[in-house]
Amino acid sequence: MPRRAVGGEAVGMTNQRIRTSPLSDIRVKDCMHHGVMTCREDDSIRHVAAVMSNYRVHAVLVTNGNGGRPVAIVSDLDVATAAATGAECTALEAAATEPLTVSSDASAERAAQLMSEHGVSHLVVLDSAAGYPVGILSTLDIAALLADD
Amino acid sequence: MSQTATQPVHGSYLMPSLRHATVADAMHPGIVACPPDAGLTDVARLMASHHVHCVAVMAISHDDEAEHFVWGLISDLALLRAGIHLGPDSSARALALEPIISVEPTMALRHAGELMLRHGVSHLVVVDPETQRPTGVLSTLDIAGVLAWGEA
Repeated sequence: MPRRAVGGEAVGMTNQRIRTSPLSDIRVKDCMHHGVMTCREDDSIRHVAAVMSNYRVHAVLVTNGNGGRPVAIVSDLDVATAAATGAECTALEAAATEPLTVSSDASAERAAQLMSEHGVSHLVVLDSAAGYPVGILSTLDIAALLADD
Repeated sequence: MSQTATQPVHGSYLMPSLRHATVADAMHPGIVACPPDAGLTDVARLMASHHVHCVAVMAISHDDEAEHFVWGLISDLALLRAGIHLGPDSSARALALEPIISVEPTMALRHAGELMLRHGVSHLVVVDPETQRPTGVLSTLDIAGVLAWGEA
């Protein structure tokens, strides 16, 4: 259900979980948070910070004006960098973090291994067929699966 | 078994600018905690239900002389690693082995942000300067909130 949000767009924001275990039997698409918050390339870093703070999300997708194609991702650590340096910059300029991605068809166990190996709490989930971002998987989504054991 | 400790540090109602803000202005007071003998499933349930990325493990240590308050911290990544490689002991006591990166409420918020970047972490534990007990958590989203202050 697309809706315009203050400072960003929530695309298809629903949260579906299949409450089974163990991790190897569960696909990422069954435990991720569907939808990704977005902003434009020329939005200020303060605007992106407002989106993160208001919606409590750790990553915002930067899209261009040409059909809204995703071009980069601003992470919470990019915002922390801007805060620490006091730099005024655009969303595109701030997007320094190379996003870690996982296919929506990958197992939750594979996603957990990726997070563990790279020391990150969030992965961008790509549609297994089209390859575009369709959601975010966080360590708390994996924790919810472990809690169901 | 879950408990959220309340403590006397509160952020101001009028948010200062990032330049002048301290950790106390942005942090979330209170920390979700569990006893040392809690299991992996219990810790996972605490994180998932409270939407927190770290859980404190608190206990009273007894020796011949006196009782001492001791605590450790379980991060979301430590929980994941334990979930992937289930060892013989996956109790909270065994999981809370990572070094704790802590800050005090009076630290400048910008310095706390630099600390997060240096260690590549999104959350810091805020400790009471007198007792050194955990009193809250500061996340990157809290810093984002101060940076965005005044933004619609």
